[in-house]
Formats: sequence, C-alpha cells, structure tokens
Amino acid sequence: MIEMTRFILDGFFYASILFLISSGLTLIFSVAGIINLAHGALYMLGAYIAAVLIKSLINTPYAILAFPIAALIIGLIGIIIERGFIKWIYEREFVYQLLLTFGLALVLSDITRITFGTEPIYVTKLYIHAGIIDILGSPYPVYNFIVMAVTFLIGGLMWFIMYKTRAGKIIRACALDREMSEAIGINTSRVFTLTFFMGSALAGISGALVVPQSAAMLGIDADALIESFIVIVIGGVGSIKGAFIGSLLIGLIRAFGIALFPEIELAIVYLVMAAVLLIRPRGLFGKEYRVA
Amino acid sequence: MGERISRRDFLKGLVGGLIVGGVIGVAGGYVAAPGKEKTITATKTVTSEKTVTKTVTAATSGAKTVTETTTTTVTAKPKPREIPSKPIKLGVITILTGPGAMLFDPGLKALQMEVEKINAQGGILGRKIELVVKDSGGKPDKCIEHYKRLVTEEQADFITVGATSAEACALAPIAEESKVLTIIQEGTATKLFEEVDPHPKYVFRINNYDALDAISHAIAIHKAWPKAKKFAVIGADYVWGHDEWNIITTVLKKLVPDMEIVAEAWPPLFAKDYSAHISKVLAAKPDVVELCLWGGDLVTCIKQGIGYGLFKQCKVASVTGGEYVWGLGTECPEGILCSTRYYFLYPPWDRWHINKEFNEEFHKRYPDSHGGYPGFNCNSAYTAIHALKLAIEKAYAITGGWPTTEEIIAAMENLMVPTPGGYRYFRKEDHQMLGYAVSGFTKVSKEFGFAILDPVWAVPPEEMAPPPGKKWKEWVESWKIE
Repeated sequence: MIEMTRFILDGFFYASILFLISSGLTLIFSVAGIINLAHGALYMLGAYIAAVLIKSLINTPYAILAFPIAALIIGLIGIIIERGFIKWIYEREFVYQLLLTFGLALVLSDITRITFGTEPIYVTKLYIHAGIIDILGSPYPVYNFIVMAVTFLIGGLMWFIMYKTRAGKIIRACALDREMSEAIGINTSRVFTLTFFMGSALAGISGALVVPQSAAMLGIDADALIESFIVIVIGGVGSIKGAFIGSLLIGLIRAFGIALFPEIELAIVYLVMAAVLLIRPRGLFGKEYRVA
Repeated sequence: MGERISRRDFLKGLVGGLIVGGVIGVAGGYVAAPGKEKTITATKTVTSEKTVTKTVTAATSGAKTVTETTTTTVTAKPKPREIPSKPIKLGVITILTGPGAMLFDPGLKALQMEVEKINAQGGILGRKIELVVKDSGGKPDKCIEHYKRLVTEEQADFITVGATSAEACALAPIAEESKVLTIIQEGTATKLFEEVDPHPKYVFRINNYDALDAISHAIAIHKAWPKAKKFAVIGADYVWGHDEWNIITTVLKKLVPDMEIVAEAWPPLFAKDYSAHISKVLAAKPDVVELCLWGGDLVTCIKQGIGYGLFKQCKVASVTGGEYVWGLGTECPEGILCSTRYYFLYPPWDRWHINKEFNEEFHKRYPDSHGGYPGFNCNSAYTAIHALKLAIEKAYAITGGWPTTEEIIAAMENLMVPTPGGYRYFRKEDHQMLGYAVSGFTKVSKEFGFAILDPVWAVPPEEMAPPPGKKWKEWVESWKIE
C-alpha cells in the first residue's frame, strides 16, 4: 500500500514536469503551426538562469522570485526568436522550419555552455528546506507537492486564458483559421508573438522548477524535447488537453514500469506511444491537421 | 633505429680495431727485430666515418719490409642526437562540448597549469611544450579524425587523450599504427588492454580502469559493512553502469557468498527524476544501495534520496562518489561510502607536498572549477605531462641525446611517477598505470563548505588489479577466501 501510494505520487510528480514542458511545445504548434525544436534548449537555459538566480539569492526570501524571472527571460527570448527568425518562414515548407528551429537549438545550447560553463550548477538547499513529510509512515519531499501544485495552477491558468478570456478566443481563432482571422481584423502576427512568449515561458518555468530537485546541466535539453514529443504525440499534436492526459499516462506508466519492468524502463514509454499511434494515429485528442 | 649505432657496438668496433692494429704492430716489430735499426710507420686513414684503414709498415735496415694493411670497418662514434630547438608539440584530444565536458574541462585546466609551470622552469631539456588542443565532443569518429590530423598535419610529437571508453577503444589501434606515443588519461574501458590492444607499444593509460574502480569499491563496501547481505543498485542505463554493477556483484559474491541482489533500477543517463527508482529500491529493503551514477546524475539522485529518507533507511555507497559529492554542498548526507580514483585530500597534504602544492595552485587559479579542487582527471593530466618529462629525461641520461619515441617508451615502462595522488607506475606488460584507489565516508566540512571524505583510506593496486594478461573475472574467481 505504501509502495503503491509512492509510485502514484512519483508518477504524478513526473507527469507535472512533463506537462509543463510539453504544453508549451504543443501550444506553439497549435497556434503558429511550428514544431519548435529549440524548446528543449529553452528549457535548459531556463534551468540555468533559475539556478544562478537561486544560488545568488539563496539566503533571502527573494530566492522564490527566480522562478518567475526565469520564465519571463525565456519568454522574452521566445519573442526574439519569433520576431527575428521564425516570422520569415511561416509560409515556407515544413523542412525549413525544422532546420531553422534545430539550428536555433544548437546555438542556444552553445550559448548556455559558453555563458554558464560546462559544470552543472547545483542548488540543494531549496529542495531540502522545503521539508519532508510523512506519508503512510515513509518520508516524502514537500517540494514535489509544490511542483504538482504549481503545475496545477499553471494548467488552470492556461485553461482560463484560452477559454474564458477574449485573448484566448482570439488565439483559438488564429489556430483554427489564420486567413479568416486576418480577414476579420485580427493582428495575427501579434498573436503568434504572444503565443511564442507563452510557450517559451512555459519551457522556462519548467526548467526552473526542475532545478531545485535536480541540477542545471548540459544534456538535459535533448531528453526534455524527446519526452515532450512522446507526450504530445500520444495526446494529439496541438491539443493542450492531450498534453495533460499524455503526461499523466506517461508519468504513471513510467513509475510502474520502473517498479515492475526495470529492464525496459525506456522502451515501455515508446511501446505505449506505438500502441496509441497504431490505434489512433492522430493521438488521443488530436484533430486532423495540415502541415503548412 | 636503422642509422643509429649504439654505444656498445661502437666500443666493440673500436676496441676490435685497436687490438688488431696493435697485434699487427707488435708482431711486425718482433719479426723485424733482428736488425737494430727499425722503423715502424703506422698510418691510419679514415676514409669514411665507418671505415678505418690502418697500414702498418715495419722496416729494418737490412732485412725485408713487412707491410700489413688492415681495413676495419668500425662503428664510428654516433653523435648524440641534438636536442631540437623547436618546442615539443603535444597534441591534446579531449571533450569540451556536450555533457561530458564537465569531466574533462578541469583536466585540461590542470594540464595547461602544469605545462605553464614546466615551461617557466625551462621546459623539458630546454624545449618548451606547446599544446595543440582538439575537442572530440565525445564522438569516436571525431576523435580519430583529430588524431590523424595531429599526426599528419600538426606533426605532434606526442598525443594525450581524455576520452570516452568508446573513443579510446577506437583510437588505440590507430595510435599503434601511427607509432606516436599516445598517453590515454581517461577512456577506461576494461577491454582496452584486455582485448582491443592486449600488447600495447605506443599506447599508455593513466587512470584506473573500470574494473579496478569496481573491484576496489566492492572491497571497500565489504570492509565498511561486512554483515551486509542484501544489495540494490540505482545505475545509469548504459554499458558503464551495467559493467560496474556486474563487477561489484561478482566481487561481493566472492566475499559474501550468501549475498543477494534485491532490487535494480536503471534510469537513463542525464535523467532529472529518480523518485520512482528510489521508491522501488526502498521497497525491497536492502542493506546497501549502490549508486552507479556520475556527475549531475549522482548529485541529483542523492538529493532526491534525502527527500525519500534513503539515507535513514539503508547504507548507501557510490563507486564514483568521491569525485562529485562536493556538488551537494553542506546538505550532503553523512556516511555515504564513496570511492574515487584520486581524492584531493589523499595523501594528506602535510605528508605529501606535491598534493598540497597542486591543490593550492589549482584552487588559486580556478576557484570555480569542480568545487575549486582538482578531480581525478586533473591528477591524470598532471601525471601525463610529468611522466613524459621524466621518461624523456631518463632516456636522455642514458643516450646523451634527444631520445627517440622508442627510447622514451622504454624509459616509460615501469617508470615510477610522483603524482599528487601518490606514487604511480606504468606496468611494463600492458602499459596500464597503477596507483591507489581511494574510499571514504562523507562528512560535512565547514572549512570546505561541502562534504569531504573523512575518514579516507586507500586501496593499494595489488588488492584490486589483476596481474598482467589476466582478465578481471578469471582473477576474481580465482581468489581463495578463507
């Protein structure tokens, strides 16, 4: 029983991080139609920025500000990327988008290395000082609950923005039909910029949230990108609800996979993806979509 | 070697020539003795450096004239090879991009520091050392490409390599073909000298290889917790992680015949979350959990282990721990059994001044690198450049000139090198360097601002290294344990 609860909690925790990373990726795709391969690099950069900020503010209550600041900076970098590079290739073939965003990913990870050095940046205090509580007689870190709560809040906020505000309506309209939206007077290019800001900020905040319980280090970008791809392929590319369900599915399957079939920990996630694709090629909540 | 004539050959020739000449001269004189008047003329014509013609003419007044001409080919005195005036070009291939960079970047820093120091003192026999650094990014094809370029285009005199296991195994055969003295610092696949390059000539390796790490660590585990029977692992899911665990358990089985493996968890490299793995291992209630992880992965896993009460519920050991626990700062749990190839506090500074000076210099120059203190790749960088220097100087003392690569190799075999981590030597048979492995328990130190190993002790090479030519597995299984 104790073990079961632990595995479910571990699954939820992993799902939270996966959801934060993949929701940004899927949001950008659903609105702007761009598969942003630089998403993982933005996540890594967010982790580094947060790590440096937390490290320098660790003995003050302002350390908590590291998270929104990292998200904001990465959001702004997202705007620069969209305005500087991506805006020129919306009408181009899909391959150009992949080449461009992949190139950006390489450049960003090199910038990270040059700026922050090759050594991982560790921040341990925050994770430990958040406390440890007792769940059914075995200890569990409070920080994991904080991450789950923050994810829940952010997910709720996204739902609210998308479905309850005018801005959300406009974004959804652009996602559905760009030409029609332009025809009725929506400034679509501004909407795209806003989307890139939001998507990138999500990458930034997820990187920042991961730092206290792991480390900012080189190489975490590729994993993050691949895992969030799996999530959005399962959930349906472009669907935030899909990203949510996909993350939960992967998080839980992974936790139980580690417990029951440790030898195929990595494979099991791909097996699930393959199964979903066989039964429902567009993903669980995916729409039919065109590739520009 | 073709043109060169050794000292011994030369002496033989010279002595031979003199004896022949002398005998003839004396004999001639004796034959001609009857007459009182006696002229003996000896001419010696040196036609070429190698041919000496001696003509001895002994004449007496009334009698006959005896003329003896001998032409002896003697080996002329070889002029010692002059010490070239141009600097020594040392090629360096290492990993400076990608996640592996954290391991190799401090090593390169230490190499540059030592080269600078040696150059300031006049270099090796007056020749300055010039480094040509290449970044392989950890990719074998890139590594080989750089190697070939260093040999052909840069004409590097020697090459030293900090690489992954795959790179080292791909490189060794090419290095043997190129006939360039190649010192592999890191690239510690057990099979390098067991299978890939079993009779190395031009290739040497410095760091303790994987089997030595695992065997010494397993011995340390048994020494620390002799009653432990139930073991579990959280290991990185790639060749290295599985290999280490395989060796550790083989040794433990030998030492604790009724041991059992109660749980295994294999997270991928660079995983960010170990919660589920820790939960799984804890559920099996092991006595000892081994963490076969390295770098940020190990720090992350230990950190998350604190949150899960891992360190309260069982003993924890890590085969690479000594190298990385500083990353946890003062939050590091105490009592983790950590091993490493070199530890900055061993041998203790007050007993081994090389270690003290090396650490103080490194700390002064790179306060932010690797927690401010050198890691095992820094020690191996020091060892590489100083072993080379010692070998060249030793060969020079014998030959009197700038030694050839083969002479340096001969000088390097069985060479004892004082390094920050104590004395280490290159074993002649397989060119593997042997030295202490270090183990100890973590203890938070206010002075350093992170956990250090205290107490710390060394596992001597005789206890962990199979004899040359023997594979680790046969060797471990041949142990006789009372």
